[in-house]
Amino acid sequence: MIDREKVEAALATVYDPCSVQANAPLSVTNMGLVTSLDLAPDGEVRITLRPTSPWCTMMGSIMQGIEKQLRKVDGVTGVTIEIDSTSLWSEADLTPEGREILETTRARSRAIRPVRRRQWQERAATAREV
Amino acid sequence: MFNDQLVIDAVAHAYDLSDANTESHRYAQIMRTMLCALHQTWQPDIGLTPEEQSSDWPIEVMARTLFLESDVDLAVTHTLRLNSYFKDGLCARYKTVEAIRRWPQRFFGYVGLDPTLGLDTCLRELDQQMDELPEAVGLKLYPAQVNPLRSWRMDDSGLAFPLFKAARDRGIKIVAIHKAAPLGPVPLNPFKLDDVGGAADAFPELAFEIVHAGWSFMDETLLQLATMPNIYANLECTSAFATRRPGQFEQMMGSFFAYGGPQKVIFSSGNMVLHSHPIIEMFRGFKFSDETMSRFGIPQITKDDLALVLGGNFARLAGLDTEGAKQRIANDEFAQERRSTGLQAPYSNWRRYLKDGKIGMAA
Repeated sequence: MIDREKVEAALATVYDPCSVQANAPLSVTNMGLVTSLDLAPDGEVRITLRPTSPWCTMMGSIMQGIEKQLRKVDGVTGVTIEIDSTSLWSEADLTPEGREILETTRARSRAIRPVRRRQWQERAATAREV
Repeated sequence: MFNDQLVIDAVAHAYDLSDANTESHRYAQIMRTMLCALHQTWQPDIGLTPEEQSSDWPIEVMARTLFLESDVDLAVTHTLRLNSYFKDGLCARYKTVEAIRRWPQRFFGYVGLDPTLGLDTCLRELDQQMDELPEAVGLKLYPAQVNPLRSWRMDDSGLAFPLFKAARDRGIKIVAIHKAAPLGPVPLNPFKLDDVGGAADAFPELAFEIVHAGWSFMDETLLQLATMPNIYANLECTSAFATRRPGQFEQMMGSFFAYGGPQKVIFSSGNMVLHSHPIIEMFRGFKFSDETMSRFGIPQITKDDLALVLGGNFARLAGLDTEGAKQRIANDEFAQERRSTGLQAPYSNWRRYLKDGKIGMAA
């Protein structure tokens, strides 16, 4: 029998590439991409994943990453991953931990480079004066 | 028309997704699959099958889809240079020329270049395309290519800046850069936005459109919109959220309006891959909820704001005489047919062309 906690821990080591690029690395779990996880007695793991958008071209590499990590778990004999094209992802699907990571990163970025809303209007006004 | 203002769809593409035009490598095959899936799954009641889509889309069908099946008055069509994915770049140059030559009253044209080919090639091709299409108002660019993987930056003073200078000197007013939507399982850096501000700062007289704004890297997009007077959010494909995920779309619009303002958002659908009509219909009744206004600290959207988004902003950037444009389309072939048939069903023209054998489908 597969240990569910070990499978979930392995999933938590697979990261969404776009979040890594945005300097807020989030696992597929914290992103809320995994919509179902079933463990069969024979060691087969079945997962359903939702893309963040229908344009998401990273799904292949995310699936590869999941399979690679889950196959390291004792008792896992196979991994089947299906794409859930009916369920649409939004930020509301982040886990509380994922939300905290994102909010912390955003706050840090905004502190480094504060942005005032519509500050382009000041710049445009200055340019007109010059 | 919306509120007596022109509706301008700021991106329309007649792709060639045929087998013959699609490179055999996985990047191209994935791209085609994703485009077909976008079309079908985000428009479940009106979309065509992948087999039907895997064909060479005539510019005439795109024009009919835009002007007979929706309330789009004018549209912008781009020459695309995704030649490492599709042999003709995805939207061939001749299609842009055909659109402008046949319906100058309806279309704006963008020339297309691939900066990964180097500056000399770009400058030569720019001159060729502008000689052929002096009416072009824009330049469309992609940040990366595949096989081999290669990219360039908008703030590269040795490559991008001489190109922008030459484009400006040839009369180009707008530079559109594809961002936020990676083209396959490729490195993501080129699709981020940190290089756009440098270009906008160096060329204040040019307008820079972030195409697919909001699709990803939203915070970075807002930074660019908020800080630079000449950076704009082009909603190509992002606008599909309006019909498929209206709540999420409202959050995007709230963000854009808060940081950039209504002057910084440009409607486009990406027609034909996504149909303009359902999106425009959603815009007609678009309102911010109390929660969104409170969250972003913005007032309710007005009809004037919507008119800016749906065409006013693009008309301003392109220097369009809007009253003249209204007169030119008032009784053209599309206006006459529209009066005769009424609004035609979504993708009915595309389906008819397929049925009549005017478009060859993939095997």
